[in-house]
Amino acid sequence: MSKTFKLQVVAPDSPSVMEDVTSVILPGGDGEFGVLAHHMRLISTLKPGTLEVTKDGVKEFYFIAGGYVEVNPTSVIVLAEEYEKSDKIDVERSTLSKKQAEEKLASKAEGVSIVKEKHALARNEARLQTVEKAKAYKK
Amino acid sequence: MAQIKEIKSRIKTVKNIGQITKAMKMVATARLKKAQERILGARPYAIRMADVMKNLASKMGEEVHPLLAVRNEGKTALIVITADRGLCGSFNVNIIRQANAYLRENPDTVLLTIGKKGRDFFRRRNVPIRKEWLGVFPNVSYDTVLEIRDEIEVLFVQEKFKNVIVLFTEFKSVISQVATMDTLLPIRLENLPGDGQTLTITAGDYEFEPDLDTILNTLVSQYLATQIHRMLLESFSSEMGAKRSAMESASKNAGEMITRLTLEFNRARQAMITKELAEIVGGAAALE
Repeated sequence: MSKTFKLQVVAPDSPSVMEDVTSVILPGGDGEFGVLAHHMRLISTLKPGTLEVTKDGVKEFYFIAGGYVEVNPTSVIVLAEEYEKSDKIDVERSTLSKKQAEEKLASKAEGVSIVKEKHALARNEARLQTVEKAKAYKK
Repeated sequence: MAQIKEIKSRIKTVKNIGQITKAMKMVATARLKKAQERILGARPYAIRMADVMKNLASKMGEEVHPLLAVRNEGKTALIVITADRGLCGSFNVNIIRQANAYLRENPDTVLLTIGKKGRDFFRRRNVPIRKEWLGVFPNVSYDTVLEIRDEIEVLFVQEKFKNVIVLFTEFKSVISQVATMDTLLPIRLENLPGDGQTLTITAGDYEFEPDLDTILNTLVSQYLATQIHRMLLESFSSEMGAKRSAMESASKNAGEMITRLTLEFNRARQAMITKELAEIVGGAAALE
């Protein structure tokens, strides 16, 4: 029995990734969960967070902006609204966007879409968190 | 002499215009290529999603998602997708003409516009516009897509619209773009792309987290977003295709005009030389 399985990440705006991996940790809608090969069939929603991939014993970190995942015994397909690898994340921009979203939420001004800003806030928090995790792992 | 100067300056002007149109053509070509890549990139996501949705929806039984609701009464929303800019041949005109015809036949329709050209047209004619989006192109960010999605979900779910239709330009090829009308809501499951074969979901096989309903809910709404995304990208590709053709023929016309003007210029110059010679010969003859 093979210990690896295929991980596919697809998003509408970025090329899809296809890799052989040994484990993934996903930000499920009801909490994080890990997947190894021969996992039970599962379909779950995902919230903005970090996708942790172990490939050849090395961990890689991706930011994903919500979506859903389909788990099969030999493959995992992540359908994300957006995804970025940890080293591609622009920390400065994310920090700025996060701050802007926070300010807009705090201002409670008219014309501010709370849902949209909360979404933006969650996404950018997840981005920064991904970078942190990747940093912590490298040390 | 005055005539020669005039022709010379005209040649210069036409040359400049030709250079500009040529540059615009090149920009359009590059953008077109990029937009096409994005359409191709988004396709696996959309097909995969439609596949899963189809499979899950068949297990939903009686319970129908609000975005799938078929109503016999209610208003219709028309979303008109045009470009923000002109200089792309009949691209905007085609869409606007169709939209106008539709609105005349169905005066109750609620209008939403994406793109500046469509908005300007209807605003000039005092047609009420419910919501407008400008500056969507050329980036077509997914955030904007989600914003548009949320807006029409409100129309359909809360305000009980009968349907939401979109008028956009379908990208057939670099030289052929067709103004198309498509129904966005309610989503008809039988119209979904993909044949369901790439997926092997069978009842009871899957565990759902948190539960099937929640998953289907997010899925349907995400699917709607991918549809809007696709239409925007197609529209943008079409715009660039149309612009490319328009700029190509403009460059060609400029080239032809330069040839003609150069000929005229040479003739005028020759005529002047001949005239001067005649004068000299005449003057010499008078001295003898």
